Amino acid sequence: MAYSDKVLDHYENPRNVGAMDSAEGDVGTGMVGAPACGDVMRLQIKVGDDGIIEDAKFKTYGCGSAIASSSLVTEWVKGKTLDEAAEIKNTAIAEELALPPVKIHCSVLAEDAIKAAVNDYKKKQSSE
Amino acid sequence: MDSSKNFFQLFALPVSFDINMSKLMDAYRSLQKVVHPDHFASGTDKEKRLSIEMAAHLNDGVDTLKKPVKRAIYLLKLQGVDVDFEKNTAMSPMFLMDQMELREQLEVVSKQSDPFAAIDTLYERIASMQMERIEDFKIAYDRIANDIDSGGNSTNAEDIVAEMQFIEKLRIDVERLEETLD
Repeated sequence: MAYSDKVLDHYENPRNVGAMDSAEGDVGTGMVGAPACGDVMRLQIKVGDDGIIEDAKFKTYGCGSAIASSSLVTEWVKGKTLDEAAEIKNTAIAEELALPPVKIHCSVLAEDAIKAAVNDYKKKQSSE
Repeated sequence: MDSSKNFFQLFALPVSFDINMSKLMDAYRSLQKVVHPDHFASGTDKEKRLSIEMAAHLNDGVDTLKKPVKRAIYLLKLQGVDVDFEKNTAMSPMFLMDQMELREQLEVVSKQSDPFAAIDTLYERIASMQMERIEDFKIAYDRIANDIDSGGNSTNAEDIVAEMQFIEKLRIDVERLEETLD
């Protein structure tokens, strides 16, 4: 199966790979996994006082499409509010990367990861 | 051979996670002899078609029962529980963190002074993780099969199978890496 140019670009030059300190109050961490292919994805966001996502990092073990989906999402969420980020749909990711039907679940994983990161951040804020 | 039987009945095995592997393989081989398409080379088209279908059904059956994860999924299916991995991404964070850590270890195996020792350590950890899940699965499955209410404090059988599948994929990736080492 051939990957699209956009998938290859993100796969070969992944954006925002790395880790943030998940113990920090302004960091939200989302961990998700896809049992079918064994992919595991960690997506983290750093949120400013104004509620805008300042930075995002990811680490993904999985196929090219899973890496590209998470890489793309870290680019997209920067500068967005939490609610805007949580509204990102997997269909938009799949469309942007021209994912074939068998790889749609990779974009679902990325959508779930950003939602999990936003929820983690909100939970931290409400418990402080 | 009756294709309406479930795979356990097909091979005359009790419906259970624990199976006698040599009994399974013996039953498979003797049934395979009976339905082998070669016996029907001079038969009618219908007979030929049936023998091919039966042979495929047998292969499907032995493959399903031989592999622990497939067997677990099949057992749940017989109980009316359909496992859908695509929908299940919200796994236990602790489990995912372990998986991430194991993947990180796998990534640096080839840089270790003794990569084979590092591989063995990974295999051991994976095997013990899988063994724990299998024990948990058997308990969860027994509850479902015998219709016992767990009172909501036991791990869902589907979630255990999802973790088993995850661990199996990791094990396959360790094997792949091991092949590239020598």
